[in-house]
Amino acid sequence: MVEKMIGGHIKIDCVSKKFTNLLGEENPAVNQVSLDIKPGEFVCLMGPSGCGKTTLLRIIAGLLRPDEGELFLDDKPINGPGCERGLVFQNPELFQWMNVEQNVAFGLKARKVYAQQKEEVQKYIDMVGLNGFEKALPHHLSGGMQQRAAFARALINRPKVLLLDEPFGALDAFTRVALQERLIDLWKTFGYTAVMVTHDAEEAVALATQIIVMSDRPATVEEIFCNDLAYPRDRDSSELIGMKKDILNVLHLKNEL
Amino acid sequence: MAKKIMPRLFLPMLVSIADAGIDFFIPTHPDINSRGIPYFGYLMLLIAGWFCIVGIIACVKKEYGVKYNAKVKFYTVILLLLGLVDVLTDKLMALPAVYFPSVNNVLASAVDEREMLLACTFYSVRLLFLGIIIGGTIGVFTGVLIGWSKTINYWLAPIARFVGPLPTAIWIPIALLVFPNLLSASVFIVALTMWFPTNVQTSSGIQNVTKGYYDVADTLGAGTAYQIFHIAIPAAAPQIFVGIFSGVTASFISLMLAELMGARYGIGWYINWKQQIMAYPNVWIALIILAILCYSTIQLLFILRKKFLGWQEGIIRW
Repeated sequence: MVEKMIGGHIKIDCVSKKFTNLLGEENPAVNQVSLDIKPGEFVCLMGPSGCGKTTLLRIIAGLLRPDEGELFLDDKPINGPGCERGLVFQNPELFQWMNVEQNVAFGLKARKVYAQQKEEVQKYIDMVGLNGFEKALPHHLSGGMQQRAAFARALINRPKVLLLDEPFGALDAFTRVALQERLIDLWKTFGYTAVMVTHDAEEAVALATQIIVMSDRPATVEEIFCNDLAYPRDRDSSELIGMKKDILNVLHLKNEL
Repeated sequence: MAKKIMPRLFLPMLVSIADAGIDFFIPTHPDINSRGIPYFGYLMLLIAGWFCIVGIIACVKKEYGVKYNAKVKFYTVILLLLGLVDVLTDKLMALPAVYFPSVNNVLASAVDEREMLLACTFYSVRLLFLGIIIGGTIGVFTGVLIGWSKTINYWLAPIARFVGPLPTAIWIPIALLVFPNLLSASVFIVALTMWFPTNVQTSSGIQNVTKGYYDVADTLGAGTAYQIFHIAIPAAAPQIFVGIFSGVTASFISLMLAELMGARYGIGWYINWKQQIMAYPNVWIALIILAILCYSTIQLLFILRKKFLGWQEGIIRW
């Protein structure tokens, strides 16, 4: 269906970011984070809410500039947003005035390659299971369907890295599991590197190859869990439940300090 | 599909025929100075013909029939009221005839001065649309700039807020001085009225666009210009329309003001002139033409809204 590619290699070198309020008070959000995310990994960033993991994700996306440190994608410095790093938010943020087809086609049109790659649009709509809803406006779709459209819109650019900011946070339990499975299928088909922010340990152990647990604000890397279990994973298996417990232990321990 | 003829759908036609009958067969009040041509009756016959056609279409096309059926009551009452006006003015002279002339005399003045009225309507429409288009375009343009760029916002937004709310009439003396001719001065007055609400609503609309849209567009490879035209403006379009709408309604007022600046021709000018010479039948017909002009302009706006903001259906109701 689509050609598998080699995902992006993300190197994060001593990145720090603080926010300054109107009075000039500094509020550190990310502190001296160094990470090496290998091509094709599925990484979950976990941590207490408000710990700065979303800030780190936005720095990787290029939507925020770090105060200190550097980031590289395949050894090229990241200086701003780019279409090789796709992004899916918790809120699908579909363009309300465009139907599904137009939303999905947005990336192609913005990069002026729409004329050559028109057929791609239908392919990606089918891939996320939205065929039949091409002409539907976003507000006529359910939350899960909107998120599917958001995935198709991000993936049509064939990003080397897919950044996910709690993409399943606003969905009901059934839709969430269905979309998680779909995300794994897409990840295996495309081969992109995935970086997902989540606060759901079960989701993290079911999806990720690497789980990075971060400390409370300012975020630093607390512990890294690796998970080599094959997909599809049995969510009730003792390994996953054990790993989930370990992760929660690290998180709770940190919170009590 | 029920093909049976619904008598209810022909109620407006029957009332129009009754109105015509009243006008034809009840004599005009002897004190009214009239040439004796029952213009109102003829008009009502025309309207009856119109409602006959509409009624037949409503019987044949079910979908239209349902829509039309809902409005039948309104049309019927309006036509009854028109008949009542005819009786009160032309037949009974129950109102002071100088200010509330016989409907037949009002229509007679329309027939007599049709060329003058046509010219006046043309001048008003030209002034209105020149002002709306120029003011609206500049309003959207400055609104987008002020909404998009923080620097432009810093320098221009306070000035726009200082200048904009001034009543347009204040500018008349200056407009007359600065502009080479009356037309450009009048267009300036109307355009200025149109500009302020359009500018304010556009800039506010652009500033209120969900930040997430820009984040998504950034990561999809859209440049700044692409984001302005394909994200910012369409996302702000509902609010831009609100600005245009209030701009247009305010422009009707300044249209009348601009036409009083010593213009020749124009509905506002015509009403003023006829009022001064106590020609109230002409005042009334000019008022009716003006009402139709304003109504059509608003209808045009709603058609444009349906075309460009159709996606809003189901989100917002007007």
